[in-house]
Amino acid sequence: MKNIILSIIISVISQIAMSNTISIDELKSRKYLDDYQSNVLYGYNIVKDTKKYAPRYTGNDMNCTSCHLASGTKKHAIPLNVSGMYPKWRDKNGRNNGIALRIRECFVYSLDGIMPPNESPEVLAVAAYISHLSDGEKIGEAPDGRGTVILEDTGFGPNPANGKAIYKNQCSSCHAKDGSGNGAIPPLWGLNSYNKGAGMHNNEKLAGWVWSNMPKGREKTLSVQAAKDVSAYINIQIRPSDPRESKIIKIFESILDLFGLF
Amino acid sequence: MWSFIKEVLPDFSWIREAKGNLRAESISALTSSFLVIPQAIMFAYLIGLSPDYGIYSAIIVTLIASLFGTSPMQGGPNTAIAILIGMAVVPYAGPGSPLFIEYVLIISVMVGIIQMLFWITRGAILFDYFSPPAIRGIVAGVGFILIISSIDSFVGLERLNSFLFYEKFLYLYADAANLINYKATSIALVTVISGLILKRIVGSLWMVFAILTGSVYGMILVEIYPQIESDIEKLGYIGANVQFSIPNFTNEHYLVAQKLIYDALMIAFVGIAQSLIITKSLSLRLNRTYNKNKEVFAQGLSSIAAGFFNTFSGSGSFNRTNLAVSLGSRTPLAGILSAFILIILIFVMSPVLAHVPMPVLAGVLMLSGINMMSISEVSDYINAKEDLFVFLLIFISIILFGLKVGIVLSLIISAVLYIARTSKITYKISSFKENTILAIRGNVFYGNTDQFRDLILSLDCESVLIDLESVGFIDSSAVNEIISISKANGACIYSILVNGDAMCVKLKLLGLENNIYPEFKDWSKVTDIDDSRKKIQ
Repeated sequence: MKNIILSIIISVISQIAMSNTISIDELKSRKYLDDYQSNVLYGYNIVKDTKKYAPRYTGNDMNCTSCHLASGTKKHAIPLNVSGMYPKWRDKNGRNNGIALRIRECFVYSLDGIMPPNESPEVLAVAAYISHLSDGEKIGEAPDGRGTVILEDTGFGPNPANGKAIYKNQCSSCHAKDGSGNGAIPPLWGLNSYNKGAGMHNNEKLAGWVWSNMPKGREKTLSVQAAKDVSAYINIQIRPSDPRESKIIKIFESILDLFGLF
Repeated sequence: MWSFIKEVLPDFSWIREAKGNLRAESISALTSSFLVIPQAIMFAYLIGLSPDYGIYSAIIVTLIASLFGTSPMQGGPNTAIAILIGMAVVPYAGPGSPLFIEYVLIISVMVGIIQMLFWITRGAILFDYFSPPAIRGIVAGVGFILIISSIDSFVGLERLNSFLFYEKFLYLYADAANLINYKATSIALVTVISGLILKRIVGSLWMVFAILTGSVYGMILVEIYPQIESDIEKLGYIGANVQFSIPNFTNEHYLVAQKLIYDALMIAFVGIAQSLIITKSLSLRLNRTYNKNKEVFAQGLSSIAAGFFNTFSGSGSFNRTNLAVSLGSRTPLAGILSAFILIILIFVMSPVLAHVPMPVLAGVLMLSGINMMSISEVSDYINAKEDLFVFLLIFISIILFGLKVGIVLSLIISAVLYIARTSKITYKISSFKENTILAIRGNVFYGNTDQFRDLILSLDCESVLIDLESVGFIDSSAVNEIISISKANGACIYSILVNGDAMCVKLKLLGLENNIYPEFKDWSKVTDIDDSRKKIQ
C-alpha cells in the first residue's frame, strides 16, 4: 500500500516537472533570456520568418512554417517535436543523421539556400527550438502525428492535367495562378520555391501533406486522388535545380533572382 | 571649454581640399571598400559572429570615425579588437547565439564609454609612452594568432575556441586527425600559395587576386563535389541593412557587464593605441598635424554607435589606411564614401559572394597573419638589444599565454622602461677652486634618491656644490636626503644651486634655506663661494 502511494506521488511530481516548459509567448515577454532560452526564441523566429532571421543561408521566399505549419506544432504537417527520433539513419544521404544535419539539409533543399555548417548559430537555434517542442516526448518513439499522412493507393496514377483544374479552383485564389504565392502564402513553384531535391518534391509526401492540411479551413475535403493529382501538377512546374546535380546553375539562379528576372 | 565643443562637432574644414582631390578620394574609397569585405567577414568570424556583423561594423565604424575625425585614416573592424571581443564574451554565451550578440553590443558600448573617458581626461598623451617595440611585438603576436585561428577552418573543421597553438595542435592531432576535410584544405592551400606568389608580382591589391584565385578554384571544386557530399562550408548571403536598436540591458546583463569591464578597458586601450599610431604615422608621412584628442573622440563615438547599430567596435586599420593614402586620399572623405560604396557593393556582389567557399577566407586569414608577422622593421632591432628583447618578450608571451597577457605585459614593460629611463640621474663633476661642483640633469625624486645619495657620498671632498640648474623637478624625499647627508657628514659643506624663484621657494619650504644659491649663471665671476653666499643672505 505504501509503495503504491509513493509511486503515485513520484509520478505526479515527475508529471509536473515534465510539463514545466516555458511557452514561447512567455519567452517573448521576458527581458532577459539565458543562453538556451534565447536560442529557443531565436529558433522560433527562424522557423516563423526564415528570410528575416536566417538570411545568410536562405535562398528562397519560403519559411520553415510554410510546410511545418503553426511553427512546427500542427500534427500531420511535419511537426518539429522529433528531437527524440535523432540521430537516425536516412537513405536520402546514406549516413547517420544528427538533428543538425537534418536542419542543414532543409536549408539546402527546401529553402534552396546554402548548407550552414554544423555549429552555425542558425542551426543551433533551430535545434534548440526543436528540443523545446520535443519536451515530454519519448526518446526513440515517433510522436503522435509525425510527418505527413500516408495516403492509400487509389489504383490510379496521378494526373497532372486533372491537378491543373483542381489547382485553378481550389488553390489559385491564395497561391496565385502562376504559383508565386502572395505575402505570407508561400510560392509553390518558380525560383522562389523549394528545389528539386526537397522532400516536398516527392509527390507522395506532398499529396499526404496537401490532403491533411489544404485548402486552409477546409482540410481533408479533397479526395485522395485529387490531392495526388494536384501534387503532381505542382511538382512538374519549373523550380530551382537539385543542388546535388548542378552548382554553377545555382549561382546563375541567385543572380537572376537579384534582378527579379523570374 | 570651446576646444571640447570643437572636438565634439564634426569638422568639415577638409571639404575644400577634398573638392580638388575628388578623383583620388573616390578611387581610394572604392578600393578600400573592396578590401574591407574579406576583412570584415574574417573579423566577424574571429569573434564568432556571422559576416553581416562585420559588414555593419565596416559601415558604421568607418562612417562615424571619418565623419568626426580629421585624418584620412580608414576605420573599421580590426584584428586585435575582434580577437579580444571574442575572448571576452565567449565564457558567457555560445558564439553567435542571440545572448552572445547582446553581450557583444554591450561590450562595444562599454569600450566607447571608456574611450570617451580617455578623451575627457586628455588621455591621448598617454599613448606616446607606449613602447614601439612592444607594439610591434603585439602586431606580430596578433599575426601568429591569426594563423592559429585560421587552422580549424583551413582544414574544414568546426571552430575551436582557442587561440593557443598547443591546444589547437593537440585537438587536431588527438581528436580530429581523421575528420580533416582534404577538399576544403586544398582550397585554402591554393589561396595561400597563390597569395604568396601574387604578392611578389601584383602590387598592393595582391590579397584581392588571391581571393579571386581561391574562389574560382573552390567554386569549380564545389561544382564537381556538391556541398552535401564534400561538406565544404560556404559564405552564405550577406546583407548590409544596418538598423538602429537600443542594446538590451537588464540586471542580468549588468552582472556580466561588470565582469567584462577589464576586457573593455583593454579593448578601448588597444583601439585608441592603434588609431593614434596610425594618426602619428600619417602626420609624419603627409607632414601635417592632426588633433589627437579629436581622433580619440571619434573612436569613442564610433564604438558607442557600433553598439547601437547592432555591431561591434573597431579602430583604425593599418593596411586600408596605407592603401588609401598611397592611392591619393588626403581627407576623411574617402572613409565616408567607402561606407556608402560598401552598401552598394554588398548588394550587388551578394549572390556571387554567397557561393565563395569558407576555406578561401581561412586562407586569407592565414595570409594576413603571415603578412603581419613578417615585419621588415624588426631587422632594425638587431643592433638595439633592449628593443629586440622587448619585442621578443611580448611576441613569445602572446604565443604562449595569449593576447591579453601580451598586452598587459607590454603595458607593464612600457611603464617600467619609461620609469627606468626617466629616473636615471646623469651628472657631470667639475671643480672650481677647492670646491667640487656636481651638476645634475634629470629629475630627482623618491624613485632615485638612492642613486642620488650614492653619488654625493662617492665624492670624497670637503665642500660640494650641487648644481640643480638643469633639474626639472625635485621632491621632498630628495631634499630630506640632502639634509640628512649634510647632518651626517659634518665636515662636508653641501651647497645647492638652483634655477628660478619657484625652485628656490620650494627648497626653502622643504627646509634648505641656508645653502641655496639662486641664479648663479656665470661661474667665472664667482671668486669665493662662501663670500657670495653671505652676499645673497
